[in-house]
Amino acid sequence: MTNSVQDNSEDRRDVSQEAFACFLECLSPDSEEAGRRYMRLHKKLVGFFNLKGVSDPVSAADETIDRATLKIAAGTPVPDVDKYCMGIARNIARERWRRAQREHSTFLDFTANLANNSDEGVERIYRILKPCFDALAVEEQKLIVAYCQVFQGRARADYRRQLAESMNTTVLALRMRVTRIRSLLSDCVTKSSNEGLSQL
Amino acid sequence: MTDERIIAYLLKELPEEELERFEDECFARESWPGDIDPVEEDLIDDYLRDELPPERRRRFELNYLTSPARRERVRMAAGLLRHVDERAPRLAPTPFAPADGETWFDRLRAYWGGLNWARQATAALALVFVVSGLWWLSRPAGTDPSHSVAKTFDPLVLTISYGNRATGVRAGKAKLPRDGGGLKLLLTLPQTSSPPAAYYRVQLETIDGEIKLSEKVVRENQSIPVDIPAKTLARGQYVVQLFAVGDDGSEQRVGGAGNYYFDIE
Repeated sequence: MTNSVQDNSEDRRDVSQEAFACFLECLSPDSEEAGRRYMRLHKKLVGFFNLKGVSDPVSAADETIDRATLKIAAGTPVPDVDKYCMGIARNIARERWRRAQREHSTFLDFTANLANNSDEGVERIYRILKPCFDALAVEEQKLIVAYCQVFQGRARADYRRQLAESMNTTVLALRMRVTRIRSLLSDCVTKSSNEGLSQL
Repeated sequence: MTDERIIAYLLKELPEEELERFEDECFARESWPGDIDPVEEDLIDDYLRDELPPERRRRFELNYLTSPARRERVRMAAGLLRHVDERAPRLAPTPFAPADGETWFDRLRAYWGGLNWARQATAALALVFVVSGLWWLSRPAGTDPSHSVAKTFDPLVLTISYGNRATGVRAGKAKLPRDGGGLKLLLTLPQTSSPPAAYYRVQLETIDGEIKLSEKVVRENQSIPVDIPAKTLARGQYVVQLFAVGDDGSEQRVGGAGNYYFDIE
């Protein structure tokens, strides 16, 4: 599940090469292993910020590691880097949530517009989505349509099981595949939106 | 990590310490759990399709829709569901490649055999619907004395929708009938089994919930014809609900939470 990209570069802090090397050293004395752990940590932070509904989770993950790096370079003892980063990530999620509340006081408008089918954002995405959807492989289009058809509760579970069986796969694998396709569509919409903005 | 626990986390139905424990468990894994996103997508879809129980719906609005990024996800899902609803009839059949020399019957049989039961049922009902629709359209005007309103108008064929207008359900469109005329609706019964009925009751409401019409109707094949006098209608958006009425007078909503939508322009 992806989010729209925002420029949060003002949140990045100046991290020197030496400080970053110190951070990697904390992850593992072996540089290759440190690199692998860094990638894994970054991915998990992105997942965390995604879960918290933070806009631009990648930049939030970068900021988390920057802050941890500066602390470690300043001599703060950090026995467990992952846990330490998790604490920082929680703080950043709170800060960004508070900032978002200040900047977006349109929540009531959103639900009202959604209920009246007059939300401009939905209209915008609907328009942009069409070429993105058409660009999917036909089988992927069919899968999304079949998977998202309305079936409630137990009937939906049964339907998805049958769908998975008909495709010789498991429900779990089917779910992941649908999520991947939806993520592709979301990325495509974000990309098209950004291109549209840059042409203005 | 169950679906229910993920939903409880997203809707903040867990105590604060449980919420943190959930996050810690996710973070403690080798990689971020991939089963959260599909559950979140289903939750958003359920919200947009009006399939969340009222209390969960309230918590979704109060506790989930708290950030611009999440609202953008909901918009994205709403846009996608609109496309899905529009494409469902077009993309539903599974393609097949007929071999050279096959007759159309061979192809039909091969096609039919390749469908699962749900697709077979859909195809059968679609056939019934098309045949009954053709029969309806080809009937000479005035053959049914109970339909005295809209003989000169083509019926507006509506199918049941389980979303709301936010998800871009397909609303039928019609022009405002002139005085003396009326609007004929043809409500297609849902493909799932309908509750047993001695007859049906149709209820027409405006978008504001004002009931404009409530009357007994009868089934004809897979559809319910409804005549709406012109004086009942003004320009605007309408919702139709259908109820199956049993022999004992008890009513059951047809299609669960589904509605029929149309706009008068």
